[in-house]
Amino acid sequence: MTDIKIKLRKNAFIKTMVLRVVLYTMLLLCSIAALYLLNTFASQYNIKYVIYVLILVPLAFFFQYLIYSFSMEKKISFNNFKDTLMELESADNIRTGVLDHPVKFLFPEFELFYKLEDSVNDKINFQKLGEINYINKEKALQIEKEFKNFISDNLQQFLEYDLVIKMKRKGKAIFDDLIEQFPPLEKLVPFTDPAVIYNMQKIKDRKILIFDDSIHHSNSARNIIDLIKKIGYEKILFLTVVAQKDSLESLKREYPDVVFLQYEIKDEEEYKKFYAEYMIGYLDHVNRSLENDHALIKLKIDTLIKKEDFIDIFEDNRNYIYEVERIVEKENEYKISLECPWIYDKMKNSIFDNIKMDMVKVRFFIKLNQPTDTIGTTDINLSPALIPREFDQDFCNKRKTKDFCLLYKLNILGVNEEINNLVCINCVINNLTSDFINEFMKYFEMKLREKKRANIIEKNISFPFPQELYRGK
Amino acid sequence: MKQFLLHAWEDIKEIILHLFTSAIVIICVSFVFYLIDFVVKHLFSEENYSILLLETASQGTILALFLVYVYKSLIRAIKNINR
Repeated sequence: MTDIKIKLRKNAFIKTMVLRVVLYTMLLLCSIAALYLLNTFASQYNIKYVIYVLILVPLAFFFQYLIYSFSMEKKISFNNFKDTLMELESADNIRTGVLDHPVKFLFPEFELFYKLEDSVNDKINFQKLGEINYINKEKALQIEKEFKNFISDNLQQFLEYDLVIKMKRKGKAIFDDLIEQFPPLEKLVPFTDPAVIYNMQKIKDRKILIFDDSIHHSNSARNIIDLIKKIGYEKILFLTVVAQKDSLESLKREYPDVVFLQYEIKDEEEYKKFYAEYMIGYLDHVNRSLENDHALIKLKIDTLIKKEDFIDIFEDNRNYIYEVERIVEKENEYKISLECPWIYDKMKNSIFDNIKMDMVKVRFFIKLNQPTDTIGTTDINLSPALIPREFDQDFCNKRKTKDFCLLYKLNILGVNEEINNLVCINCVINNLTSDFINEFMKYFEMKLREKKRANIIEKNISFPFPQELYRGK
Repeated sequence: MKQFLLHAWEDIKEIILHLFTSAIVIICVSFVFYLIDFVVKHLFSEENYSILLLETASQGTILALFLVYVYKSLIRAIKNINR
């Protein structure tokens, strides 16, 4: 792992230096040309230097912007240039109260590099390859019971509200589970967070309950509260299962009129522990509603692939295995999560010119048949989780598929400009997933043959059809 | 009170850090100015037109980049005060 970190650091450094040398040299040449031209045209010193500075400063801004966008791999456009000039890009950092380190703003590309390193660090912390990471089922059940007691204690308070906004898929999954337990909660009109923007009139000046599974970095909480503040509200209650203490305090300071209610408030370390020990188990339990959103690939392999073999297959610098789990009772089954950053680049080279991936995770649910003998087969259910961060606005127009594109189904394309700018999540996820499956299966089959001499006997792929609309960036 | 003091101390630390880097950048810029001047005076004759042009242009470039830096730190400072 240290090798990866050193490599990352080296690459970032070389990239920064090369870019700077090239672009600053170009700036110097432009500056010489400007001065030379001015010398030939104007003779008065004062005017000459004033014009010179007036030309040079915008040039310097432009070149600095070029360095920034090349190194951050951003699209070069006038709007982006404007955003960078006004520092709108890092608005999130400033809002969370984290002042950027000066080194980061002299070398903006290092932010990306820090992020990369952080993700590697996270993976090192999670990596427990030697031992199996058990989810403690009893404790999870106990905490779930306590959480439900907590909800029933506060139920009357929740029923005062008119509507509920379920944050992201996790929030939705847990809240839907809660409704089954507490039917009175059905009274709250449900919205998901991406739907808020299309239902402003219905949400305006109401009593709003926001539900999320957790507050960690508090970015999504800020986004939704800011949006609702713009729309207008009577009161807001922000309910989560768990929250990280510092983020929660900064939120409370910033939004004194919002009520925050949490079942557990934890320090960073304890938060991570709580999440890993309990929340993942809880989410697995309630993830019925998540299933529709993922593609599912069912494979049968003619050889037994034990945990060690499997880790061996993916043991190289390109992938990070960061979770190996087994539910206590089922000895033949285990779950491995894998992140494949190399696929980001593959996808960038295909039709997704301007797409940025936040995450490409693959979860393997592995079941060994006849594990006591050395001969047997392995069933693998493979579910990719693809999370795009940014994509081109007109992306959907490029590869709209009439069969499942929501915009075609609603028959609203061309009604107005705003609707044309919408991106249908069905198309995005579907196209991404099919690209991902092509790339990943090629790689997986090759590795299986190479390292284990194993072959895939059966293959069955089902695609997702999520029912939500998202807005392009 | 204790919380408040802690936050104030964090802010002061950040400001000191910013001042410190600004100072370093200013020193670097002046040093480069000095270096260019030194090279031109001692290695080339001062009447050489193209060398003079190069000197003014490179000093202008560094000055412009320094202005970018000043602008960026100012805008960040303002945004931080607003937060």
